[in-house]
Amino acid sequence: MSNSLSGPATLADDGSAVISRQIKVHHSRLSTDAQTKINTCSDIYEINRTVAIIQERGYKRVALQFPDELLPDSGLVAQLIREQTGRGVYILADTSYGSCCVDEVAAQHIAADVIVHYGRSCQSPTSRLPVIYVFGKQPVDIQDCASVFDGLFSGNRAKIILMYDVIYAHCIDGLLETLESKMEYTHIIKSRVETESNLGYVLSQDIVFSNGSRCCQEKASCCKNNGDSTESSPSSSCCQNGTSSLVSTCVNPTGYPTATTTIAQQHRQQQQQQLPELDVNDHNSSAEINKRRRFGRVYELPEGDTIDDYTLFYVGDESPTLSNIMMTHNKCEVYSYDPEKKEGRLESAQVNKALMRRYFLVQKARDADVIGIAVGTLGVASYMTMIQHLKTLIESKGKKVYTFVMGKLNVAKMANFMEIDCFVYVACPENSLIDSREFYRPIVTPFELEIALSKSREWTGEYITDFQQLLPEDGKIGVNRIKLSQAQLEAASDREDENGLSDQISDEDDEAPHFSLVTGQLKQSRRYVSNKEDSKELSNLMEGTKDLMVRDKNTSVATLMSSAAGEYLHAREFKGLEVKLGETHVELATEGRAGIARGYNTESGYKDREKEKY
Amino acid sequence: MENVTNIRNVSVIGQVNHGKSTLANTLASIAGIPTTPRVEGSCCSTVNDDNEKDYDITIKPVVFPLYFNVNEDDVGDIQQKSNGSAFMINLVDSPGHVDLLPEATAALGITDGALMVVDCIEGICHQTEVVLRQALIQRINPVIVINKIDHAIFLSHHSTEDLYQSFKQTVESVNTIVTIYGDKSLGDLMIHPEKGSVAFASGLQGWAFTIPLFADRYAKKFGVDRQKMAAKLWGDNYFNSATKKWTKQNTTADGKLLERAFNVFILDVIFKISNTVMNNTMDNVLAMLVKLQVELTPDEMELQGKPLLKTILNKYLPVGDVLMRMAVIHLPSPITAQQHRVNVLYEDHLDEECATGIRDCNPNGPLMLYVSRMVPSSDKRHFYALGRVFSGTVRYGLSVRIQGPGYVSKKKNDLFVKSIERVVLLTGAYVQPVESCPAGNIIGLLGIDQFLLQSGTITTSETAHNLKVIKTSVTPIVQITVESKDPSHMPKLVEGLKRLSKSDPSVHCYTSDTGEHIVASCGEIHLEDCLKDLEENCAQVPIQKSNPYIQYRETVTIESPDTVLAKSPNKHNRLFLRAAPLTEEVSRAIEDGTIHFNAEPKARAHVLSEKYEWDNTEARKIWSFGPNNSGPNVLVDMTKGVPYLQEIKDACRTAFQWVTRESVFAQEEMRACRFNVMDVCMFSDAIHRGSGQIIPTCRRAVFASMMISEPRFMEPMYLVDIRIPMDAMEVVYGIITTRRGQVLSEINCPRTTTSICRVQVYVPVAESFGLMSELREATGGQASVQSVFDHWKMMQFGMDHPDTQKLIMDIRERKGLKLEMPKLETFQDRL
Repeated sequence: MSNSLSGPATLADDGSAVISRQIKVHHSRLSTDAQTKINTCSDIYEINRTVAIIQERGYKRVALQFPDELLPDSGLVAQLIREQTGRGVYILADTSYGSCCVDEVAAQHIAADVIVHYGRSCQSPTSRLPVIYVFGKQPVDIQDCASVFDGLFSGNRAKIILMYDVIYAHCIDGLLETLESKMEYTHIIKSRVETESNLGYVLSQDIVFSNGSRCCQEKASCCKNNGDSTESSPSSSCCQNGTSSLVSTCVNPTGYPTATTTIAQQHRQQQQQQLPELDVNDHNSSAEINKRRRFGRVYELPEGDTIDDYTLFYVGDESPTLSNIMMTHNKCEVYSYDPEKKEGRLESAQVNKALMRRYFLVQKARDADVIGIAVGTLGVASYMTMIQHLKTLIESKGKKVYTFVMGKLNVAKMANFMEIDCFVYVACPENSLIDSREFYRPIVTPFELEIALSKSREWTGEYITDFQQLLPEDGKIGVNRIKLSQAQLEAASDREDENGLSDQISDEDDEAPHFSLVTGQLKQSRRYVSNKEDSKELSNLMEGTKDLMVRDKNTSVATLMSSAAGEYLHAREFKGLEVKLGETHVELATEGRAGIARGYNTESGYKDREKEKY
Repeated sequence: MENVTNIRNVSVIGQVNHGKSTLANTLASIAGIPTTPRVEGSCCSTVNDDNEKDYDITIKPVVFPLYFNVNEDDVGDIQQKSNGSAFMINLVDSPGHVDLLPEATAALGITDGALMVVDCIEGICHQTEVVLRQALIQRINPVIVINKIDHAIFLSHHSTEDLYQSFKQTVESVNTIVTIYGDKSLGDLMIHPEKGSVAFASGLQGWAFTIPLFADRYAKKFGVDRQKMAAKLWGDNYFNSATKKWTKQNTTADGKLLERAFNVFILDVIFKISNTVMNNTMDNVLAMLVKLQVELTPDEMELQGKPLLKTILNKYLPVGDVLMRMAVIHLPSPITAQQHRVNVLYEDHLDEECATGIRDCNPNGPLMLYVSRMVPSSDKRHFYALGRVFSGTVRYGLSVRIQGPGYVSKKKNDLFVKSIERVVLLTGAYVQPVESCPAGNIIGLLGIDQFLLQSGTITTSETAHNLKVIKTSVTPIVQITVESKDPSHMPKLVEGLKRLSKSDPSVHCYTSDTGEHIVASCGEIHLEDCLKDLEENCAQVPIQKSNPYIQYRETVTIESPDTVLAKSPNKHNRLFLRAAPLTEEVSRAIEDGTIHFNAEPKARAHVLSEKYEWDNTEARKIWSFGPNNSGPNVLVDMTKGVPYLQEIKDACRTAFQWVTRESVFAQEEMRACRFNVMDVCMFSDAIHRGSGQIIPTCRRAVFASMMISEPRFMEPMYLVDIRIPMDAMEVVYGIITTRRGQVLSEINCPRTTTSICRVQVYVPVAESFGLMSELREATGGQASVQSVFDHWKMMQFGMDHPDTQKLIMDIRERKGLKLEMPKLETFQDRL
């Protein structure tokens, strides 16, 4: 702490804490010898592939995104790419969200054409920029892994799906071969990361075709005309290409001039240059039940098998990816192998507990009257749609919604909003599951909020972390999509009406209190009139003049009842400094205390503390 | 129903096994009310509405309306306004088991009088006393039925004097309670056997008598004034048959012992009847029957022995007449009762129109109706709201305001405006739709069950406040986790839990923060009943349940040796805290509501400083009670002249509620802790001292101060009342010792010849599971056991003892917490 820090401390923090903060970094596996270093670096960080793509597509500005633990290597990587391509290369600082997500906003600051994302990735599709994923190869002792595998499973006819952390993707083929040929496992199904071929190298390759917003239209029609495209809708002014990449003139009102398509599969890309190929595997799960895609992982089950018949084997250490896989496959047994510790174990034991805990959070969300949407991503595709969808859902239940852009969540930040009863966190699947015990208010995922609020969904034990699966399958991005979701909600409520015993009962259902499982009491929801709701609600408001609180002696402000924040303020004891005009004597200003709260200058021991660090 | 002066709303209260329900059923069967639900599909008599077929109209019987014509002679005895001699008595049965206390209290609220049933041998028990106290607080008049006297007279061979003494003792103990808790403004609430407010009954054999009943008969026979006669038949009055004179001494002038009049003129008569029937020939019996003026039908003449005795006594001393007469004469009509009860029911707003309506029991006033409980219909789809109309008239289709327990006048919380679908009379197991029902009656309502969990106020007046009816709550200390066997049945289970908590006020159903469904109650046995009910009736899906486990409380034992400091996440704000234990007296006062957060701070401070030796200024600066703003932990502001203090008060309160609900060691609730805010240093810039900075800081500070103040667990203790034969004493003591029990008192019941012994012990609830069956087994089924939650007891060992550590880890594992002890360093900061 510097000695200059005195006087009225409005800027209390000199930032030294951030600078001196210890960050755990991966020990750089690059050797000290210069040439070997470059060679390993090129190999691990796939410099050649990256360079090839950049040159092929003609990107001008390249943003490199490293997570904190890989930052030591970033300089060398940037240097190599710059040397080989001659393009502008920028290193982005770690994101304010999860480092597994692509930070498009940061890349936009430098108007980058492409982002190269290094390290662990959640594989969440992005909405604007093309992304090259480089996972960084971590070594796996295949023999050891195979023997651990053998030890965990009794018969070699067991039905197993092989999953892995992306950083181990490069060794999976080797592992599979060992298992199938040497140990004669016959029922192993390998999950692919995004692609069928060339496993682990190219996962998703997003290409900018041209500039100019008019391309969007062209591409859309292009998609339409193309026999392979199954997902573009004629009515939509935007096109969606798989989930990996999409563009929306509505989502992006500034009209970011890109039209992107996905070429998920390289061999097809070669066959069909310039023609966008949609990843048909993804959301059309209804059509192909046995083909599943979760978080960029695709696996195909033989006909007649369901996922519940399988056991999962995961290569990788404990990570959000693993917990994510466990949550979404909570009916399967999950075994893991940690390549660093060379240990294998059964993981699914805690899953049930975790799941029940989430169930409790759903109950909490059901009781909430004021819900905050915390936006935890600016990169994951259709997050705007999701936010809109959630808003519509919340408002249709007469609850109040506030939206927050928060970056990484922490206890102190969230506790600043005491009037919020529950937060819903819109983020990439791997960052969504937050254990909110330490938090003042529960934090739920969009899926959980849906269960809590919409009657059409019920808690069955099935769990979805990827919010895109929540959007209706024929859903399109943009305004249409929002309108659609509104229409669907209305339709849904109509349906509920019809299903009700009689009109009267269903009428009451909305107002009737529900039995809260958190408190064991009946809970009546407060209803807030949303300013976006239609004229019906507005006219209600006009009629209900009693909703306006009468100006009284205590409050100088008349509060509208439908304002949650206003209501909260009303209940609060401290309402800000009182202006007692004419009641206080005029006095000369005197000098008050100086310094900061952790040691005012006047306090004894101030000098000693000056020397202390935090 | 309209003739309100001739209505008596009476609840039957008393200890379990003292024969309440037998008595109620006997009365009901006399009145011709079937007590078991009839077979489904039989035709409905009064139903013209097609819709009615959707509802199964039988229910578990709760209210028995009895019609009764009083003798012309007795009308004069009624000390209140009445009209004609036809009376209607609404008898509300209530459960006697100690675990069901809330239900019993709820029943009291809708009645004006209480028929208290006491076993003549066991006398007044703890449970009876509690209920009686509640009745008196709610200004409900009691009358006593001393029951099971057949048992005492015919089986246990007591002398008549012994019996008299035990009756007298019961009467006296009731009168003691009445004197303490009874409201003087109600006039004389004491019970007087000679005036007829005590009945002696055998619910089983169906006969009963009061002293005036015998007095009447003797009065006619001897030609004396019946009231004078009645007075002679109780107390120290002796009849010297030689001199034909009444005397107060139990010896004659020549030193001969005299028998008490009560014994001679009443008990001996019954003994004689009994002896004659049991031992003598039919001729003697017939002779006696003539004397008694009892006529038997030819069928009844065929009977022998006990059944014959029963029939004769039944005719000679008919239980229905006696008890109903007692109710009519000694209990108030709604009109009389509500004049007094309005002061309790509508306490603070006695000048408003609703209060006037209640006071006058005015059928044309604003509707004021109190719903005391939900009665499930036997088709398990609907609930009838059982309530009492205090003012106005409730009609089918009337649009009413339904005010839940959380309703505060003129606010919108817990308020629904709905119309009543149906008004029904509950007659035993049937319901009978009616058009309307005026003030003073007990009635069932359909169509409001979804808006109220258990109780609430229904009114038509917009200015109405909630009716204040005292409710007892039980501490749900015993919990069981339930789960549907088939995961897909979960929605049904949830619905079942909802129904269960609706129909039973003693049970608490909720979800723990680990996501498990928990059913909590105050006792193991009641809990088992609940789960059975849940599985068979409410949810109707197979369920899986855990072993029962109990709640603990976390507390501190000493005042913190140091002041602890916690810094806010941005390090700019500091909070200095000290913990201290609250005395048991203060904790209890907070728990039973004597000291309440919503009370006026000055008055509260006064009580604290006068009664509990608090510093008056400190007592005024209590910031918060927790958990739930009412728990036995306090946060006290001890700072002096600190800036920005008001600003952080809200945040500190919030944090305090949170920490007291989930304390540091095992996230159990806190109890009996006081936290003093010694000092705060706040950052001058408001943005850096928002609630986000204060809540976590305050939480850590509380935890840290708790950890340095020798924290302990408190465990719940049962007061177990065991009655066992003398010879089984040793076995019982053995069992109790192994269960860490502590003997409180041991009384040899003097009234019984078989040496039954009554032992009161404290047993930790944790050790009590299976205690009852073990005791029963050890004593060959002779033990009678009643346990009731009594207090929290500090556990013997500190937090670092291995036993406690194991306990903490067990709880933490169950709650899905990290399996390690919390560390002080994580909560405390250094300067």
